[in-house]
Amino acid sequence: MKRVTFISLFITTHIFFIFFMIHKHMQIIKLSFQKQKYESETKQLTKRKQELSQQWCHLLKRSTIKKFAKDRLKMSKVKFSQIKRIQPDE
Amino acid sequence: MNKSYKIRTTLLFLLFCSLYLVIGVNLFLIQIMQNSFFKNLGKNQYNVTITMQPERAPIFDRSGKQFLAMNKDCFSAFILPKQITEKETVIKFLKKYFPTAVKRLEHNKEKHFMFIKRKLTDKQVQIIKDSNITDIHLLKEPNRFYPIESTSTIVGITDIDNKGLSGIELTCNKLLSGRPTTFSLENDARSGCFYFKKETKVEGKTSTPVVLTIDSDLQFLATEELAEWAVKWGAKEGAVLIMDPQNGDIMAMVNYPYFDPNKKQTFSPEKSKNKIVAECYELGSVIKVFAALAALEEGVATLNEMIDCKSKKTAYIDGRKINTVKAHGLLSFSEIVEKSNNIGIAIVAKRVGEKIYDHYKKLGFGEKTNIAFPGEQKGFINPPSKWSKQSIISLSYGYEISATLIQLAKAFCIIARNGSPVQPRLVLSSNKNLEKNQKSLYSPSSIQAIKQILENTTLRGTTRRAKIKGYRVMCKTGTANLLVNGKYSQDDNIFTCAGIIEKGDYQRVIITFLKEIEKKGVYAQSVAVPLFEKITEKTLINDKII
Repeated sequence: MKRVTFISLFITTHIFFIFFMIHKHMQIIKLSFQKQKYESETKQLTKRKQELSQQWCHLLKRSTIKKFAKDRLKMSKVKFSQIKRIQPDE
Repeated sequence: MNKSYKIRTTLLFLLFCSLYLVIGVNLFLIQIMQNSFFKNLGKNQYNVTITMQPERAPIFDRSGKQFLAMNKDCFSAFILPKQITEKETVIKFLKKYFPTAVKRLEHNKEKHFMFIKRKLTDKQVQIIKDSNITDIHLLKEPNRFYPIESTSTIVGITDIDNKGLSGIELTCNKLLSGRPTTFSLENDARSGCFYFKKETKVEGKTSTPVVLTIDSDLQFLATEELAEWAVKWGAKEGAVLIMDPQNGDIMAMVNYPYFDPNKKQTFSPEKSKNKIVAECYELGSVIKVFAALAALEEGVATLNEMIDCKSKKTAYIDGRKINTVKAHGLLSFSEIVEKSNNIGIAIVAKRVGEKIYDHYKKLGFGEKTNIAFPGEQKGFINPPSKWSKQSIISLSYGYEISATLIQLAKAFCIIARNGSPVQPRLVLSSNKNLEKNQKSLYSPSSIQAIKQILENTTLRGTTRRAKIKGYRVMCKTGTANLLVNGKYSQDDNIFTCAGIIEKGDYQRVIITFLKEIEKKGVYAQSVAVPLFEKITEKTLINDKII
């Protein structure tokens, strides 16, 4: 192999290596940023879930349900003696 | 080449040399002499150390779905005293809505940061937002929200910095808060939103949710019922405790009155106290059950043995006066408990003697139950070394012995479990107390006999109202006088009904309690027993034991 060919091949290979190194690093940064973006999105969604859970808890408040059942649905308290377990064959 | 050209070239060369020299000197100064200064400056711009506190974990009821405590962000208002631009407007606003902050501002004029108020209400946040004052800033801070108010005495509350202050929030604070993690970040200098490198400096620990043994539905039902009866009787205090004797799980633990943990202004030490665990009472006749159990175990009495109860409401034993509600003549040992005769039980207790103290100790009175709840009281049993002639008599019907309601429930669990003890527990995840083959403290015959006595009490004795067809109900009442200014007051009473409900394998220990009602001259059989009956019915409906 000629000297000039060898040197140019050597330099080209190195340039490629450097390029790939930079490319790899850029990819890592890109993916890391993407990951962080998803992380912050997860955080926001968790917060939203928390807010919805609170609303859900408010809706499930037993005193509110009872008031609704009494006032709106005109339901009344059941006496223990009124409750009967129905057997499948009955 | 002429001479002037040479001079000019030399000058130009020297000029460039001196410029390079300046650059070289500067480089030397920056890179070598001031190396550490610029290195730190760069580091501070790019490298940030942050400490992240994990979110406080929620508390659930036994279903693991119903929140008993959860996180809710709230706003805090702050100002930067040194950077206030519209001082007069700010002070005018603060004077109107946050007067305490004005005083603090006067003392902290030179400070860089000052909170106006932490944990603002929604109304206060709106007022600040509407004011459009740029000097007042809002900051989001973590806060706790408690969906079921009646669990406030169990779950407890957190302080302004979200650290456990009482109840489970305090007991399980380490679990709930976790440990903070410290990271070192190499920041993205442009946006500041991202980082290139993240290094963990101090490894923390994520927070762990706590699951309680409380059944939130049953807790609600018991709260409703207790409040209704407490209002009806005008009681100053009340409590309901429902326990599963098989594993010691506390299914419901209701105190009346209680405070709303979401409105901290309603907080008072008295209302926040879990009296079931943290308050001792002389419980009165309900203790007769254990005096009778001691007598049976010691073999000094049998179920059908006839005992002369003197046919009087007031009698004397060893010169000591004993009062009982109703005069009875000859009663069987079982009937003494059924009809709650003080004279009869005192006669039997005298036969047991000092051993009654050991039996009470064995049943868990005078000792903490180790339920892991802050402020638990251990109660008191007058030891034989300090006994007077009255002591054995008093101890037989529930005086000179003070106990918490949780101790009473624990003692009833021993009866329900045929003599083997169980440790009450509030946290479901703690399973250290699930040792199934615990040594029995009482012989099967004594336990069967006492169960029979308790059942008879419900069938034909003082707790007749608690009878429920199709279920084995075994309960006993107690009406005790309270000590007022060193004397037992006939008008200030506590009313207790404690018992066991059974159907097949299903068992529950239930305690109902009311203190200082308005009406005078009534007994637990008309105050605590109807409440016991209602609570039992609600429990059976809730547990679908129909």
